[in-house]
Amino acid sequence: MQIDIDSLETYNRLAREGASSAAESLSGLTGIETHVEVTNISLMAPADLKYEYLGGEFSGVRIELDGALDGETVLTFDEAARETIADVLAPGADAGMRKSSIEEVGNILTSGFIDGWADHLDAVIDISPPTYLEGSGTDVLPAETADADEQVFVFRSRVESASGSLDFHILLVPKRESLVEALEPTADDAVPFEKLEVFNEMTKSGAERAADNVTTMTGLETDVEVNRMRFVPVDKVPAAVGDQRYVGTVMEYTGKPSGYLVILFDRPSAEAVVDALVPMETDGEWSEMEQSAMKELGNIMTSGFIDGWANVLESSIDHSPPTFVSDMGSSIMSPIVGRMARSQEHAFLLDSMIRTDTDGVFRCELFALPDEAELREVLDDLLVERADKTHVDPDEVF
Amino acid sequence: MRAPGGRGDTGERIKVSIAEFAIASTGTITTSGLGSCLGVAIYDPHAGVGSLLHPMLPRRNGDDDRPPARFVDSGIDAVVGALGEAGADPSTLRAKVTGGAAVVDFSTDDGYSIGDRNIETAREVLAARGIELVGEEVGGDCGRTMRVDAATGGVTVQRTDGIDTEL
Repeated sequence: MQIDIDSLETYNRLAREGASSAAESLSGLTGIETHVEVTNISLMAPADLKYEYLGGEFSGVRIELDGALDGETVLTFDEAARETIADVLAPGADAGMRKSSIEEVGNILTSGFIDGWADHLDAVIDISPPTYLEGSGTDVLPAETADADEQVFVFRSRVESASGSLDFHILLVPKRESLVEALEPTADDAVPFEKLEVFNEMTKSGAERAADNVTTMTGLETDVEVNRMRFVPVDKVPAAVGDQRYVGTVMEYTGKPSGYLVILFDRPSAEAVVDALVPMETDGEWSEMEQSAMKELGNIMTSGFIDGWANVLESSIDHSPPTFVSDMGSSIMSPIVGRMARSQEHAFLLDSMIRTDTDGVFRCELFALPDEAELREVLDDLLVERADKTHVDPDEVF
Repeated sequence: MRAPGGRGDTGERIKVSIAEFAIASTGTITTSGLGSCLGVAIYDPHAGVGSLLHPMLPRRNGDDDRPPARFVDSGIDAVVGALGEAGADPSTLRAKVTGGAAVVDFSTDDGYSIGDRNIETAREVLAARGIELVGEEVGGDCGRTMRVDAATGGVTVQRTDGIDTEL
């Protein structure tokens, strides 16, 4: 099964246009300006879809697709959006009517979203009647894919309003065979689906080693919770990371592939790891000593992460000394993306989240941004049978 | 309607992402996550129409396949054109600029970052187009959020170190 990377660009555009059309419909219905904040394609284990629904209550609709594209679409409004829609479309109505208004709006938006795909494929996509969804977190996960054990492509758009009162997510999860058929790889440089999967798994084991290194250094228990490969227009990488405040490190790596590794802790987690390394009272500012502790941690995590890649890819990858950062995630990403945008229009954003199982205090995200052209070359040369070589085998070295 | 080149007319807040712009005659236009990128507000206070552009890189260098609003030079040109269509008088436009920080200290920049180049390009392009630069809060190493009052051109800049500035 081959995937034509160039056609992913087309499909990313289709998903974005579909989401724009849904956003416009919603603005038309409510009079509130909405905006497609980010659209991306992720390759992930279906179980990791739960990451899309962390926290909060959601409601919306699920529709099943059949025909030219087989799979499902789930559109979810957050709690504020649900209230806004019901207040605008069914003011003062009872719970049943408010639910119907969500169902109706969800149905209109998903139909608009799917129409663009049908037009592009020049074929019919049958859609089932909408099923109403309501619940917190994973209750609204796409049903069919949730237990599958092979990785799936997920097309995801996040639509936001400036006031935050009308935000929604729209997810399209096509069945794997159906997507590959629809993508119709024609280019010579199509990449086997399995290689993308292997690369994604390599990244996960890299993140696991980085997490182990955190545990060794700080004594904090850690676990890699989510891992995904996102394909995203380069301008949209900062929005994909978001405006939350983070503390961490940025490294530039050179070799095949070259790129950037950004390790970002939320503030309480950053304080927890630095306290574990440099136990002393501070006044809220990041002292030189704390910054250098964070950089040392970044160094060790990066080595764990990158060595696995280099070993499977049989190439040598070096990395720069870490730079300390403390700012909005999107602001941290902007100069990195600025550098990448000189030579590429789309980015592969490899995103792993490390968390603690216990009290949820510890949360760290690793974002790897390999050079797109070099990653394609690397995938081309990748031997799938080396996938389990992420650990250094002393017999091979000596 | 909204960016790129869209016109907001609902009086709400309009949010602009990287490589986009919006123009409006009422309400507020906002953008966040300004690191090395710029936030450029260009407005005509007499006509009561304003804009916000969020470019990432200095110059487009004739590469017409790339989105104009990604670059300071082509972005400003696109905004000026759209403002003219919205009733602004191109000869009375004013501008305010923020952003251009070095949030990540790349040693390979040799002290001259993307942010520095963006700021310099904005000054040059605005001067060349005869647009008076009446306020700026630029450089440093902090991320910023920018809000533009579309009708008046009033600008608020919030820095992540907690310092707010009115331009």
